[in-house]
Amino acid sequence: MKKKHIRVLLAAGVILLTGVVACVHLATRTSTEEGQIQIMYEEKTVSVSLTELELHPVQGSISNAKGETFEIDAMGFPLEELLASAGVTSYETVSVIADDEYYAELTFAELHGEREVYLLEEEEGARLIVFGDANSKRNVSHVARIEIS
Amino acid sequence: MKNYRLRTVIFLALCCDLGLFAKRLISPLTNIVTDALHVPGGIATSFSLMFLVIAVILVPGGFCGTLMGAVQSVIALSFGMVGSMGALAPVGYIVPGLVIDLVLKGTAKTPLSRADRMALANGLAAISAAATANLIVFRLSGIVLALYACIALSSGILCGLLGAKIAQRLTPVIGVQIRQDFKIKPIKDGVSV
Repeated sequence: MKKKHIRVLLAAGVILLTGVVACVHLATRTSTEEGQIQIMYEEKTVSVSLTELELHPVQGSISNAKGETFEIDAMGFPLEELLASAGVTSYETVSVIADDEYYAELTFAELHGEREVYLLEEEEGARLIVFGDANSKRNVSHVARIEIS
Repeated sequence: MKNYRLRTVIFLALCCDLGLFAKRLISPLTNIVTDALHVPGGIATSFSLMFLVIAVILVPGGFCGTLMGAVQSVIALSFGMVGSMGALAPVGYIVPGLVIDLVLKGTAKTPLSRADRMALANGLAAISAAATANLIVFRLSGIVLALYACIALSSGILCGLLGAKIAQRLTPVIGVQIRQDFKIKPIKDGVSV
């Protein structure tokens, strides 16, 4: 077999492997309907519709990794309130997970006084905002689900 | 460093800039694919690393890839293009550059063709970039991480093969002259490290 053919076969093999892994990922991932957030705790899953939540004005400033500061003036709701509405009251950590699996972890203490944590209403979905962090690394966009542990 | 003539330095600087800004240009297009697959990226980085691979294959000697990665990180920091990595952004630029250097040097005396070596270097550099981003920012695990790595590897290999075609075209234009600057005789299939 010619060298060129081996190269093409290997490249095709890697692409095929990517396709297979992509299919497995898409088939097994927890999908969330648009406008909803899934809250998963104690082996239960509760879907919360963002339109059903009462929005509050959220104002404050956040800093990004470059040290730039941005003023936030939007509508949203405290994460703590969202969890309470779903019946989640005792937990150690909360993982807020985006549609692309990027996630941020928050502790019970942070949600109860150490930080101001909100989910902002945006066109593409909800966005997590953590006021008081040195950088905006935990500001997860397109929040799809929240896992409680 | 004394062997680095002005045209070589200009070529390296051009590849640095192309790598850095090509990523920005191609990102909206690649995001269509990565958003559909629900992974945080991997394709645009492979494309940007292609320019480093081309530069390292055409400029003999030294650790050009690592050097270019360091220069890219300085440019990225000065332009505020650090993304979510923040102050750790240099790691994300230097590690793939080092991988390119090591792979191309490590495979220099193997029977692999230049295109194969470039594809391998680009693929492994893309995986190292994905691993670095995952350690610093994404912290993915399981099947999502596997898919992220597969996307980086496959797009890296394809970009490496594309880079080989570009390097082939560039060889008579700049590769031969650079090789002359280093007082190295051109070889049959162009230039190699």
